[in-house]
Amino acid sequence: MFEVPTIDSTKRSVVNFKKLRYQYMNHMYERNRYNKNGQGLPTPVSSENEMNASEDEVSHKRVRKRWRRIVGESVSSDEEEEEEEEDEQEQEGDEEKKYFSRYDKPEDSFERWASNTKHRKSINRKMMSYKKYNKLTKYSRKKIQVPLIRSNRKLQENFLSVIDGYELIDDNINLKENFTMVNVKLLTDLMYESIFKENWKIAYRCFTLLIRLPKTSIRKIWNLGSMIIENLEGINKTIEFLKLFNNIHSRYKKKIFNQTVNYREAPVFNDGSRNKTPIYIKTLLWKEITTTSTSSRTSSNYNELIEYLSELTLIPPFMEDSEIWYIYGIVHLQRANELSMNLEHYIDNSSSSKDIANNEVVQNIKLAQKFLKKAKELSKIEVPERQITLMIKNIEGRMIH
Amino acid sequence: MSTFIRGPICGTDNCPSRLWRIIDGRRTCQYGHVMEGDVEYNDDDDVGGGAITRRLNLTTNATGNFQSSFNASQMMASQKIEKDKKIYGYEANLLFLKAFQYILRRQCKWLIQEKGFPEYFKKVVKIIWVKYVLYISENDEGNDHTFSDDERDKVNRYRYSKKSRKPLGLHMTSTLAILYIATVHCGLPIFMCDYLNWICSSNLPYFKSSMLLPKVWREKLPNYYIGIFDGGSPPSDGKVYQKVANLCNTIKFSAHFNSKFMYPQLLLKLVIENSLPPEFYLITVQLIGEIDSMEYMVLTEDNSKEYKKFHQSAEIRTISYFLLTLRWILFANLGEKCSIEWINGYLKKIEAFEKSAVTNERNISNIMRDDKNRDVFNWDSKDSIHYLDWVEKKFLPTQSYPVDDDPSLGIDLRIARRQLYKLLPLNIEGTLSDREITIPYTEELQQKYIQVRNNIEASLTDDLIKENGNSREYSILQLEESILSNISIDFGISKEQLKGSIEKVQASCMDKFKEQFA
Repeated sequence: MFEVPTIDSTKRSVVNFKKLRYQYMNHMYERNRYNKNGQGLPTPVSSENEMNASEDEVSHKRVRKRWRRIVGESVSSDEEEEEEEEDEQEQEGDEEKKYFSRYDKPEDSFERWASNTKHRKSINRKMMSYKKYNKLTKYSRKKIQVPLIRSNRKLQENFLSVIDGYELIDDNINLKENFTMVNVKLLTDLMYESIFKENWKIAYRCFTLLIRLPKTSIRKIWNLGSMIIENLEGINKTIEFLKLFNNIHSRYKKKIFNQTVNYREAPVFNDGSRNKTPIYIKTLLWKEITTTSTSSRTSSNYNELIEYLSELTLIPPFMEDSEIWYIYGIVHLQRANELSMNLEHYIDNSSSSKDIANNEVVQNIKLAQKFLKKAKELSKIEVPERQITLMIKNIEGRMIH
Repeated sequence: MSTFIRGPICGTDNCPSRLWRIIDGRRTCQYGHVMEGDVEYNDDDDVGGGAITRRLNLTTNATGNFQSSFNASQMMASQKIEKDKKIYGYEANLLFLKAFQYILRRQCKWLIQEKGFPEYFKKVVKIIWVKYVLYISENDEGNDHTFSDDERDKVNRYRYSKKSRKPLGLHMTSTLAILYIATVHCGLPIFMCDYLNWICSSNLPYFKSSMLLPKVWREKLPNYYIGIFDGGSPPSDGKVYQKVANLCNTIKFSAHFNSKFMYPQLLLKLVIENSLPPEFYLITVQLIGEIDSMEYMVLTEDNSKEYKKFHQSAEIRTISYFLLTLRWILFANLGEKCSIEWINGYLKKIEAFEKSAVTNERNISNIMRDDKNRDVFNWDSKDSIHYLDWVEKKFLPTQSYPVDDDPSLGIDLRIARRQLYKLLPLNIEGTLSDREITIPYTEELQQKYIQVRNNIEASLTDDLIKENGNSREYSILQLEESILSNISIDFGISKEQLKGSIEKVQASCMDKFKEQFA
C-alpha cells in the first residue's frame, strides 16, 4: 500500500525495454526534425507550471532576438540549430539521456528547485496529422529493426504491441510475493497506519525492526523515524538520532550533483549536493535552533552548531544553498543576542574585559549580517528584514559603553 | 647508474619527466619523484653470490607504461579477483547438493527436537535423499562408470563444459516433499498443512535458509543457487502436491516404501478443527471404505510437469471426500443435526476466548499465505503486537546476521550500525506485549465446541435470523464455501483446484453407486 523502503534493483528486461522505447522515440524525433516546419514532436508532458514558464521563455527568446537584430548581430536560426545538433551528437549512446535532454529533467519536478530557465525547452503544442504520424512511425520501425532482432522474443512481442498502442499487463502481477517482501510491506503498512492512529509505540517497533532488516534502507524512512522518536521520547532523542544519522551519511553531504543522471526519486531525501542540501541536515539544523532558543541550553550548543555550519560552508566544496547560509546568519544573530543578555555582568568589571565582551557581540552581529547577505545573493530567499534589524537594534541597545 | 630509461610520464605534481633511473632500487624520475608501487627484486643473495644476477627487463608497452611495473589499479584488480570466490559448473552443482543436504539435516533436527519426531525419521529422510541423488547421478550423461573415482571427476569436469546437463530439479519445495513422503512412510499423523504452517511461521528452516549454511559454502555458491535457498513465496496452488507426485515417481516410492496414506487421522483433524460433530468423521470413513478401493489411498506417482490430477493425490482426495460428505449429509436433511439453526450456528465466527500457541502460530502463517489477512487497517492493537513479537523473535533472526558477524558490512558500517542499534533498541519500556497466557490446544478445541453450542442456541431463540434468514440451501453452500476456503489456504491449494477435485470424486462416487444398484 505504501512505498516500501527498499533499494530496488532494476531488472535487465526492464532496462532493455526502456532503452528500446527511448531509441524508438529518438528516431521519431530525428525524422521529424528535418521536416519543413518540424519542431520536434508534440510534447506529451504538460504541467501547468512548466507551461507558464515556457511561454515566458518563448517571449524572452523573441525579445532577445529582436534586440540582437537591432544591435546588428543578426543570427540566423540555422546556426542555433546547428549548435543544438552538436550537443546531441556528443551524448550519443544513452538513449534515455538523449530523450530527456530535449525535455525536462525528472529531478526538476521533484521539488521546486531553482533550475536554470535557459535549459528549458518550450512545449510544442502543435497538432500532428495521422498521415504524418504514420510516416514517422514507419521510419522509426525500420530503424528499430536491428536492435529488435538482437533482443529476445518476449521483449520483441511486448515492444511491438506497445508501439501498436496496446497496453501490456504487468508480468509481475501474477507473481506471488517473496516471503521477505511480504513482511517488509506489512511492517511498512503497519508503521504508516499506527502513525495515522498516533500509536507511537507500535510505530516505533515497526521502525526499529525495519531498519534491522537487510534489504531496507534507512535513508528512505529516516523522516518517519525522527517523527516517531520525537513523539515517543522527545526532541533531545530526535536530535541525537539525527546527529548520528548525519554522521553515518556524511559522505552524501556535498556530492557534486550530476545533471545527466535521471534520478528515480527525489535525491534531496536520500542525498544532497552542493546547492541542494539533504533534508536531514536541514531538519537537524532547524530542530537544533528551535530547541536552543526555547530551552535553557548552554552557549556551548551554539558553538557546536556554528562549528558544524562552518564545516559545511567553509570547507571545499563550499555549500551554495542559500538556506544553509541563512541558518548560519540566524545562529550568529542568536548567539549575539545571548551574549548581549549576559553583558550586564560585566558592568562592574574592568574596561578591558568590557571591551572584549562588547567586541564579541559586535563580531557576531557583523558575521550574521554578512551571511544573511550571502544567502540573499545566492538566491531569492525571503529574509524577514524588519525583524532582523529590530533584533539588531535591541542587541545594540543592550551594549554597555 | 645515471643512464635514463624512457618510460611513462611521471605526473607527480604535474612533473613532465619521461626519463627514469634507478636509485637505491627505486625507480626515480628525472626530477627526483619516486615511482609509486614499483618494486625491484633483488634475490642475488639467494643464488649464493654467483655471477648470475637477475635484472628487471624494462620494456615499455603501447601506452608507454613499464610492462613489469605494478601500478595501483593493477593491485586493486588482483585483489578483486581474490575476493570473488564463487565457483561454477560441476563443482557448484556438487556444493549445491551438499548444501541442500545440510538444510535437510537441519530440518530433520528441528522436527525431532521440537516436534518429537522419532529418531529413525532422520534415517528415512536420508534414504529418500540418497535415492534422489542416485537418480541424479544415473541420469547424468557425463557420468561414466568405467572410470575410477579420480578419473571420473576429471572426465566429468571436462564433459560438463561440453554438454548441457539436465537441471537438478531441486527447489525448496523439494525439501517439503521429501519430509512429507518420509512422514507418510513412518505413518506419522502430520500432513501438508502442518508443514506449511511451520515454514510460514519461520519455525521450520525454509525461507532464507542460505543463512544457515556455513560461511565458506555461501561464499562459494553461485547466486542462482543462493536464490533457490531463499525459498521465494509460500508454496500455493498445489505446487507441493505436484512436487510430491514427481518425487515419488523419480525414486519409485511405492516400490520401496510404505506409501499407505493415513486418511482417518486427516479426517479426524479436519472434523475437530472445524468443530463438527463426530458423525461426520464416521460417515466419511465409511464412505471412503465403501467407495474407494484402498489402492487409491496411496501416494501416487506422476511425472507430468503440468500437474492437474489433484484428485489422485491422497491428501486432496481425502479432503474432497470430507467436503462431499458434509454437503451430502446436510442436503439429506437428517434429523435435528441438519436444521437451519444448526447451520447458522456454524456460520457465525467460531473463536475461543483464549488462544493456544498453535492457533497463534497458524494466524501468523495465514497472514503470510493469504493477502486478505494483510490489511493492517483491520488489525487491532493486539494483532499488531502479536505480529511484531513474531517478527522480532522468529522472523528477524532468520533474515539478518548479528551486526558483528555480517560479512557484507565493512568495519566502518559495522560501527555505525552498532551505534544506531544502540540508540534505537528494539524494545523501549512499555512496548513489550503483556505475557499472554496461552492454553493447551485441546482446551481451546473444547471451548470452540462450547461456542458452537451457544451459537446454535442463540440462533434458535433469535427470531430475527429466522425471519430474515436465507434459504436452507443457500446456508449450506455458504458453510461449505467458508470451510473450503479455510482448507484451501491451510493446504496450499487454490479453491478452483479443490473444487475440481471434489467434482472428480463426486463423479467417481456416482459411478460406483450406479454399479452397485444396477
